[in-house]
Amino acid sequence: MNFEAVIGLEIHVEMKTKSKMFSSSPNGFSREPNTQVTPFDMAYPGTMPVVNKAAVINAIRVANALHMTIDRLIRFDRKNYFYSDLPKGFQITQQFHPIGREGYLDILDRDGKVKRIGIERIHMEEDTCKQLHFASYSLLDYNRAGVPLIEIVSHPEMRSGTEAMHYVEAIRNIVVYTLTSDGKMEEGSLRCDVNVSLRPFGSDKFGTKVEIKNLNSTKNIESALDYEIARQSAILLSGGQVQQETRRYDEASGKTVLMRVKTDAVDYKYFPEPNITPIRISEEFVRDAIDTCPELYDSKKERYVSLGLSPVDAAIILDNLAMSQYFDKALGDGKYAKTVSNLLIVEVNGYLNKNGLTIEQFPLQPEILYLLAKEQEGGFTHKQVVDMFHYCVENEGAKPEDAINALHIAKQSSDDSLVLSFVTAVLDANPQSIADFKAGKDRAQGFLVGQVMKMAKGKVNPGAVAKVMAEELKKR
Amino acid sequence: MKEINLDVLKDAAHRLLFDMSDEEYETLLSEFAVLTKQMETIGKIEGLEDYEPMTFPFECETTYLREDEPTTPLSREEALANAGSTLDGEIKLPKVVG
Repeated sequence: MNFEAVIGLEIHVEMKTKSKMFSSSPNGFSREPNTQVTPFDMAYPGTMPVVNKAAVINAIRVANALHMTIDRLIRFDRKNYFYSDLPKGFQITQQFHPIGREGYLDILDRDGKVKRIGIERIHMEEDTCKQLHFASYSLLDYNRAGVPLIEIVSHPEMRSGTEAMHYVEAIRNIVVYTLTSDGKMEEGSLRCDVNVSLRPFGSDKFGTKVEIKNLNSTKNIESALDYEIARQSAILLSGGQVQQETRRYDEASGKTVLMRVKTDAVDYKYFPEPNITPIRISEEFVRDAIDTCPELYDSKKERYVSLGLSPVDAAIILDNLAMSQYFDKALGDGKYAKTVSNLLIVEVNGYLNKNGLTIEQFPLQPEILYLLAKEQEGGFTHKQVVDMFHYCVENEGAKPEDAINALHIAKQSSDDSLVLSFVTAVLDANPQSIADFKAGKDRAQGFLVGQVMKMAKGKVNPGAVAKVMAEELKKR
Repeated sequence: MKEINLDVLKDAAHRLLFDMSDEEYETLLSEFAVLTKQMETIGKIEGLEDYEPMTFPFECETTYLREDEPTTPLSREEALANAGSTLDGEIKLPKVVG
């Protein structure tokens, strides 16, 4: 029997606001423990939640990017549970009235076809404190308690690990390019819980679902699901039953491992949060949040491709938000986009990798990269421009013209008559090489071009020389 | 409804780490007796199940959202002042997972 996988995802995204969801405590990553805490975050009596405007704006932008209906009345609810990661004894969330309902995201399926995945809801809530567990004790750091979160819940409409991976990548692009979150799975600012069950093809009933946690990269999502689908298939084919359980992905073995068997669902006794009066947001507020949203990934990609970049090059630049911001500045009037992108992908990335730097630490102003691209398109060779590039990087404030003067770089001529005079002279002086070429030794042509470059002292364009040389060789 | 007796209160106090005197238990018990009686009285009203639970005393809305401006947090000493036990700037507690 053939089975179909039914996959749904819950994604938690930590927002990179300056302050927390309901308190004005600073919100930052990896500071000293328990130093970004206000009395509210520790649930001191009498403290009250006050909703962060930037968090609402972020949620509106993400909801809009996911084509969702946005609720104009912001309401919160309490999720009650007693655990050490939650000092209040409840989490403030949006159980009954999520800010966004029913949207979708278009992704590529395993065969590269566009597939639309429905999104049930997105809502705002607060993160819990960070717990570290040791053999005989646990440690609590409240810096994370109260950090604003967006939870994005898909419909169970994905059918393979690849689709789930593409879905998470697309969500990450949205939260990164709306400047909502840095979207780093490895640092936990984008966390993913996956639900997967199997059913016979053609059935509309759901099988028993298994939840997978501890997925810290998009690649792991694909691998974990591929493994889990095979595991559940094997159980069902041997006549067994899949247990409702929570598993975690073990990266080293590439397998999912049992964490706990699910018993009855916990009753969180949800009720409306009485300490937050419902907040009415105006049409103008919603419109403004959407209109001022930074350009999204897909739109940028389309723009880059329209400027002449290949989709692959556009994706390389867009993989890093700061890189694409640098590229946007280096684009200038967009005339030399392709050359700018080549310099960025090859030369700038090479320099960054070699020196262990990020693009934020790169010393060259993007406007200089634009000028370098302009020089290349204006007749200097790529090699000459690379020399200028290194000069400008190493000499703060230097412009290409400074590099030209300092390195005595001369523009190469593509003037046909000048090139032809050199080519003719070299051919006349090297009859043996012509004979070798005619006898099928292609290397002879390279030798002859090299002789021309030597004779012209590098002042002619090698591309033009090669072209004229080929034509002249045919005539001899 | 669960009966509020001395055992229930002692169990709750124990879970919440409250240390209470016998007198305080007596006071609480008598207060709960009044509350329970009031609930029973309200419970006798007919058609009560037709009413939605109320969260706010008045149906009102606001438009206020806090600007995203951080303020100075507590010092770590202040933040940890009420913790029973600490280690390396973190709150230490008995192991909470199996």
